[in-house]
Amino acid sequence: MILRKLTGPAVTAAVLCMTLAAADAFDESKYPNLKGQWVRARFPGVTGQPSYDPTKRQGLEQQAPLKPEFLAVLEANIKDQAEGGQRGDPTYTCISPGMPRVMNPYGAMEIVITPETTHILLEHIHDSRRIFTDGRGWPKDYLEPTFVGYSLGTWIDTDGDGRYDTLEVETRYLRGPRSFDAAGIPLHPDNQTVIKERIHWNKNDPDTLTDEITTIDNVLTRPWTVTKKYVREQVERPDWYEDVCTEGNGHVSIAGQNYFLSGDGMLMPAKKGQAPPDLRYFKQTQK
Amino acid sequence: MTVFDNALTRPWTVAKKYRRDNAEYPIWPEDICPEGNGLVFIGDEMYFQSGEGLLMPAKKGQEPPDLRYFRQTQK
Repeated sequence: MILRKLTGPAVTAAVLCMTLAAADAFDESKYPNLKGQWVRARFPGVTGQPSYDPTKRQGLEQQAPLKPEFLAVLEANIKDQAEGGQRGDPTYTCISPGMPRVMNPYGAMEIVITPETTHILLEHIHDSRRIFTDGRGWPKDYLEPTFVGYSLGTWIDTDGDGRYDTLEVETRYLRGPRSFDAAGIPLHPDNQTVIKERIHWNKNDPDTLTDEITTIDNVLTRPWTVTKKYVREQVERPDWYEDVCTEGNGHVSIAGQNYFLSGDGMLMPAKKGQAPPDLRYFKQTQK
Repeated sequence: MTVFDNALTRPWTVAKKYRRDNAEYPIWPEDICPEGNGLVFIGDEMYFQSGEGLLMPAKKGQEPPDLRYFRQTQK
């Protein structure tokens, strides 16, 4: 035993060092076991693309508490999409859906907990999140906004059993364009969105995770709260598929217009009667 | 890092070096490649978008894209 060979202040120092090291060590048993692969839970009768309120289909059926002028935006987006456009769904060119839409994951989600940061790893576009749980405050200096924003979190032991079960998160510093869903429920272009979450793990239902999300945004008449549900895949070593949005994306955006690529790689109109792109620069170089 | 690949005559080994940023709260910049990417791929051809968003040739004398599907839908 090393300690037997140390005496007086040396013992005190050694014990102190060991205590500090132990305090810094990550005690996994204090945190919920979120290992594995999580996927979006499906609700009976809800078809189509993932929606903000997972119990209802995307678009008008969501009954988003939109101010009248933004309900008109949604209706115009739906009309444009029905005609073949992509209005209101900025991710068609593979920019990030941003918050809160990334939490409607298309694919699998992995949650990695460290004492300082909880990472939510999401495939598809560029959707992974860092939730800082190290007790820091909001940045004092200017911070470049991002699609997923800047998230501060606190782990809470709600049932007093000595193990955290809930991560409370607040997200700010967002940029756009973003929408709640692919149908084009808009978020305000001022990007003043604040998103509050309660990500909760129930020890009696350990393969289910819920995320109660409240979005506060200037398109809304009131904060909009929904509860999302994720289930853990029951495989020992899940496959993590690669999903690269830009690979094979048939949408082409030129001068703000959406076109489509045919199977043989040619440019096609996305809407009936759509004019072709302006090719004036080709004429100039071919003179 | 050693790469074994059928393009190589032998395994190719290199050593990469990374440095830890010593900021207390490092900034994690967002980098989304398709955002503002001026390159446009149509079929096997690569074009460029001008500042005002119009399609431009990427090479001198490059032919414009084939617009046959626009003619068909506008008949």
